[in-house]
Amino acid sequence: MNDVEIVMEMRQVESVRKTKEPKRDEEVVETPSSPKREQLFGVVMIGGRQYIVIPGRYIYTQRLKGANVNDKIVLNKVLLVGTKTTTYIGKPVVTNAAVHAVVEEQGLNDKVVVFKYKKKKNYRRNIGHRQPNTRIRITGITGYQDYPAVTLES
Amino acid sequence: MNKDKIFKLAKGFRGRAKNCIRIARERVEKALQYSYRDRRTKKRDMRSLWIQRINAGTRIHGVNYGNFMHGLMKENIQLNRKVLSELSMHEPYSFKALVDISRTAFPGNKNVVHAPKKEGLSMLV
Repeated sequence: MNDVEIVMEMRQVESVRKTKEPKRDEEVVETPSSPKREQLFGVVMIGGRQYIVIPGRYIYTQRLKGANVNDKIVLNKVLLVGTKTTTYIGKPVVTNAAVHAVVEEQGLNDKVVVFKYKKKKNYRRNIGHRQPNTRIRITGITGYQDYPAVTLES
Repeated sequence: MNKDKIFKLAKGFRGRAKNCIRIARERVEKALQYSYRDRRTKKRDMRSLWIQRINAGTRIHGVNYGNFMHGLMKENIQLNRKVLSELSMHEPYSFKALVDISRTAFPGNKNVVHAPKKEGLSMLV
């Protein structure tokens, strides 16, 4: 278990990627215009972790086994959906709501060096590890409308 | 690890640790041990940071962190602390909705914490 390194902050990973791959950065630049128009976000559970997702953007998740590139996937563990005027809070999930996404890439996280060392025992281990990941592009959030909503006064 | 790799990792170190192999190796090994350890402590540190952020967010609405989480627990809302802290920063209205739900779920929340008083400042201004 110790060898399995898990990078925690999804955002950190994203920022690292962006700097490394200028090609994708261009893609990212064009996307923020669409969420601004719609102002829709959701919180979705993928592989035991929760992510805030916005249509048009991509996220890196733990490797989704059995998913191929360009597959369309439906994530139905939606914990919260927020629109410009209303919030749908799941208890614990927003029933019938689904996040639609496309698998874009099956890749690997950046390498982490797992260096173990015990003093005076002549023990050292130097292992590299790359955690497999999957990049998915969020295409939309649907099916939340008939769930009891919390409307905001202001 | 060979010399080249050591020096590559030792870039930016202070003093002789960046260009004497014996010292550089020592320092790089220690640095890698720290990074191994801190990948674990990072998980704890981030959690405590999220809790601080949530606490700051809820106290604006007059509820403290513990009572807020208790209210969510009662309502079976399973958002984790990472998401809650990000909501408190970037989605103030959604976060307020959560605070309201938590407050109604756990009536003990009412008037438990008062929003920070600013009378002292208003006196000055």
